[in-house]
Amino acid sequence: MAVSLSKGGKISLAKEAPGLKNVHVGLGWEARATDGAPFDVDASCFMLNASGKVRSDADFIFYNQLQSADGSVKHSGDNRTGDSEGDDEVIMVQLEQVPADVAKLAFVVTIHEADVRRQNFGQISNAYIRIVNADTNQEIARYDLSEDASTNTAMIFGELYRHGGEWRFGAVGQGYDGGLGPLARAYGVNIG
Amino acid sequence: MELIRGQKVKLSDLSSQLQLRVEVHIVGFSPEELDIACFGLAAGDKLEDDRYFVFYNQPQSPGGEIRKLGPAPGLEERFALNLAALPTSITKLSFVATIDGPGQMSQIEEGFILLRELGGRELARFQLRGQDYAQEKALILAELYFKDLWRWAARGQGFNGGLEALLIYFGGSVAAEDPQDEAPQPAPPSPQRALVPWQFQLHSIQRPAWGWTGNAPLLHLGALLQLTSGTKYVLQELGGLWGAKEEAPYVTLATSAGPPRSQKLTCYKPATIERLLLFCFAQGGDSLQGLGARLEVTTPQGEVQTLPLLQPRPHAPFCVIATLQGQGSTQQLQRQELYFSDHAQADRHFQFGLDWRQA
Repeated sequence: MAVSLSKGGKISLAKEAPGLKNVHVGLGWEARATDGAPFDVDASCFMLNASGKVRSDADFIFYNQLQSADGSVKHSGDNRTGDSEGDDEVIMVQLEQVPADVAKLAFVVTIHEADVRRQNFGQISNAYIRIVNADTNQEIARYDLSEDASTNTAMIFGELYRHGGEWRFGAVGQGYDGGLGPLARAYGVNIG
Repeated sequence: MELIRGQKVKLSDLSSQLQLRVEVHIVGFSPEELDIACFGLAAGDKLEDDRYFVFYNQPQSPGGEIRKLGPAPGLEERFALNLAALPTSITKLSFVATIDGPGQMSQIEEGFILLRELGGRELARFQLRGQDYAQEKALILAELYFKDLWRWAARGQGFNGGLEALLIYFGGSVAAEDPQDEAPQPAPPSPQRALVPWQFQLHSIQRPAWGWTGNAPLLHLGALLQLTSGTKYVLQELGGLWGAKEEAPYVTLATSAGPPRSQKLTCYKPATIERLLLFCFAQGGDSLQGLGARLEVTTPQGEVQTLPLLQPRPHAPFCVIATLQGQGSTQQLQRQELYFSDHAQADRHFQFGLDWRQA
């Protein structure tokens, strides 16, 4: 069964998903029912080398760069309101296609313009991020953002990393208050 | 503990008690304009049982699990809660404020909603500030909800559409998915019937010099009222007979200065009405002619109808526009448009039996 993470919970989930090949990282939330600026939540992926940095800006997969140069990581595109059924944004990863010099993939979730709109995850109904083994359809881990990250506006959800000959998922669940920009810079992306 | 908007905390991190109090303080509106209520909601945030909607007309839930205590010094509303006694079908208590009038939530000057133990210890406070809001006329302030365990959330989100939008949100009426679909939205279910009072608003044509020249008459709305208890009341601006919302007669009169000036009469507990006689009169005038007076009636079902004065007569500055007759839990509205010279003559016609001599 899926493991529900609590705030800041750093658990190794090696047992949960041995032999991962294709994964689906899903982000979902409910469209805003009350009046005010819509809630726009974004999922992004950073492809990182052994030093924990991107090899180039092309390794930052987000709403403005929907797939990696090698095609191993694909983003379903930007949903700006959370109005679709099921996961509102999906990042698909074919692990066998990931280049050898990528040691891990970090998944983050951020609220677009959270500062300007004065929003946080707690204001959004049923916001979550989850990772699913796409071959078995088994959910590996899920983070309830509305509940456990209520005061945050950004979060590092978890990392897929190489372990021996296979890929494993490590949950991070670390919340931050900056936007996507500071996170991208921290991973070595050159943004304006 | 001070909470920010959106913040959620486990009740068990604050207290081990399940008997709690919620206190609300909001400055910026008149008591008549502001309503504070608690919705006891089932799964999916729906009001499935009207009896768990605790508001001015239903001050407690069936088992007394949610009790509205009314205002206190420095507090506009207080609730006493017993979470342990709530039916398990009730999974959320949503505390809301609604504005019935021209105001909007950006006008909140200061305020808070806070959670206390029954014994008085403060557990969590969420400040309400006008700058956090815009045109909302209904606001979900905070919620106690059960998700594995009881939790407290500082919400601070609302609806420009006020109470009606809030009821649709909690009532489960779903707007048509297809924007082409012109079909009217289904009416929200039963809560609206219990909740929305009778409202009577008197309008007139706009007169820039209204009340300035001393020549133009000033139009007044008023009522003669008899409750089922037998007690009789007069409501009108002259003499400052504004009524009361939380106590008998449960009817209030309010004036907006305009221009154009308008007056509104609201019946908060229709079931207590034996009969209500709605009148208007022209102060300082000989007749209601040329004032374009019309009474806009909103029924508890939300239907609006307008009763204009079709044939104002000379030398008759007083008109009984309509009557509302209590019939158990419902009321019958009857158009009258009968003209009189003054209060006393109208009283005699309807055999109200009030003493008008000193007036």
